[in-house]
Amino acid sequence: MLLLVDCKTSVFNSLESYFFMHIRPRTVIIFLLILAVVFFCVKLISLYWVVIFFNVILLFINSVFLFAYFEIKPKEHKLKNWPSVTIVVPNYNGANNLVKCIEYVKNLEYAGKKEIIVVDDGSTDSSRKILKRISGIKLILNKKNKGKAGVLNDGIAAAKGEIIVTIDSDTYPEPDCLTKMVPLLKPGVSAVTGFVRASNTNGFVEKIQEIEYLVSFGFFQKVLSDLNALMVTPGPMSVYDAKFLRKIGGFDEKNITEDMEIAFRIRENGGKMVTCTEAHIFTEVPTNIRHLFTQRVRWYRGKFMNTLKYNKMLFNPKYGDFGVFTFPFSVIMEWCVVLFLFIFVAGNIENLFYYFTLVASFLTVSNNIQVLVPALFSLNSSILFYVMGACFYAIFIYYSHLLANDKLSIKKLPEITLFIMVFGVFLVLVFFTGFFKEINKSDYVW
Amino acid sequence: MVNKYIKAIFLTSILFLIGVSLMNFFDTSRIENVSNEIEIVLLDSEAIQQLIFYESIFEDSDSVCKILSNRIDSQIEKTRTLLSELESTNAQVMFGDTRIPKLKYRIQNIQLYLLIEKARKDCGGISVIPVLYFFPENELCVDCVVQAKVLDSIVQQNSKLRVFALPVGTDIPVADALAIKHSISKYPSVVIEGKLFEGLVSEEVLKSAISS
Repeated sequence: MLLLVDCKTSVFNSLESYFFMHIRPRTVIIFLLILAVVFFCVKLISLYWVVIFFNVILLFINSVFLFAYFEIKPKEHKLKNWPSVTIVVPNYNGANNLVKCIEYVKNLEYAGKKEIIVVDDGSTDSSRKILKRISGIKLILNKKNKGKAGVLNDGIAAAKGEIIVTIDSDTYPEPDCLTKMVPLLKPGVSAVTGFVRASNTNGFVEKIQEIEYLVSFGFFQKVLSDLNALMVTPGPMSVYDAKFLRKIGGFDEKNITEDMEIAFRIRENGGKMVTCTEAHIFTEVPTNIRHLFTQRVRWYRGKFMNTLKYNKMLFNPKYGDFGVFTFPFSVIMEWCVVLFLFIFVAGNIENLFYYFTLVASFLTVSNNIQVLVPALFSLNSSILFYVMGACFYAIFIYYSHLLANDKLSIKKLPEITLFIMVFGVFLVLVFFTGFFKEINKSDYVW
Repeated sequence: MVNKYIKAIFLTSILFLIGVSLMNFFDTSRIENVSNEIEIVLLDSEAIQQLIFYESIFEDSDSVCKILSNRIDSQIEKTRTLLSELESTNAQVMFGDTRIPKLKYRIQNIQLYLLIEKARKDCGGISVIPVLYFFPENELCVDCVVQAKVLDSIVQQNSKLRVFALPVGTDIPVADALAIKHSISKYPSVVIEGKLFEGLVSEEVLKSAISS
């Protein structure tokens, strides 16, 4: 049955040529149904009003975040006894960055006991040789590849500390990270996240990501933390209460975004997560569009998976602002983005058919194709709402730079403009591909 | 202390209202611009009509013919991009009404056609060749759009031509009268120098009709 429609899509293959996808009949049916529903919506009210409606939802979300940011009150954290800490560094074929990472991990200042465990997940490169040369770390060498979650669980099992810190092998935390993050792990708090930033900022793709990380881990994370609504404990570096982590059963080895899943599970079990925007953690980001695309599709599919798994939290007042606002609205926004593409296609299907008949008919009587190009290009005034959304983002970028103590120089204008204008389009493609792959149940790619 | 959600709803509503009223402002001013341009050429062609009146009183056809041919050329020049401007405005605006500028444009168009015919009849030596193109106003007709594009293409190649798009069955009585005069039964129809072409006609056929 499933092999009825068994064809490869050239469009997506060109995006990820190494990845072969099989379209299942269910996928086609669901897509056509959505397209039909959206088509009638666009016919009933105009395409532009639908777009304005989406923009207004986005404006609402952004203004809530802005008001929530102004409501944040500074808190003080002091600690007398420093609990013992175990740092778990999972590694899989990360030989390029491993030495630098371990060096940074060793340099982390901490007043209490500090233990470093590096778990190698059956690397096939020179990682093992490098690791054996480094002193002062505890090594766990897995023969078989288990995936990151499995490796982290091995590290947790071997850890002796009261606090577990996970650090990716391509991440370089600043020396004062631990001393800043650990005091926030008070009774009742189960995890602390930091300000994740891009370490490699040479290329333009990285520069745009630098801005994105600044906004999402600066401004947005700060607000989310204040609302007790963090949705992810970032993989690059997070601090967990070891007892709590063991109680809830460690990381989920079946999940592709285990750092998001653990955050949902911590919340489900009544744990609280806070963020420390003073702790700057630098991590390697993808250097080309294709890797970035694959990474984001994985993130989005992880989000999709976790949304289904923890759908009881959607619009659930028991989970406070997270259940009522941030989680459902982030899902709504992602669905809107996917719908937006459908709308764009559905709204233009009729025009497209019309245009093709016109062109075909025109070519039989004339060969002057030039006249088919419209004489005057002009913008619809509904673009105003898009500009308003862009203004909100400009404000967020400004506050994120304040949080990061970074200078907001004019040199950053190109990447900021591109981030505001073009990154959304990129995300639309990511969400669409992720959505497509998810309902198609395609294999997961890292 | 007001809840942040209420504040946000308040701010969003204000932004929505500002956005919608700004859109309204931009759209109406855009329509107004096109409308003004059309108004000017319409007044201009009305002023030219006074020439005809003057001629019927004083029978001074020499000076009238001279001025008339100059005025026709300048009118054709002024109305060159007006229709495409009007059409793109009509397609893009979400507020405001383009019916009145559209009607004004059509009236001006007919006046220009009649002036050209008058000049050809009385003065001669007018280089402009009027091309009449009939289409139904309230029907979807893909062939008509194709025919319009073909005429655009011909006009691009031959600057002597001036196409008069005549919607049949609307509030333009002269268009209906012309349709009856040329006994139009099918759309699209093109009339060049008294010759009637019914249905979709290719570029080459029209070109040979003009050159002969």
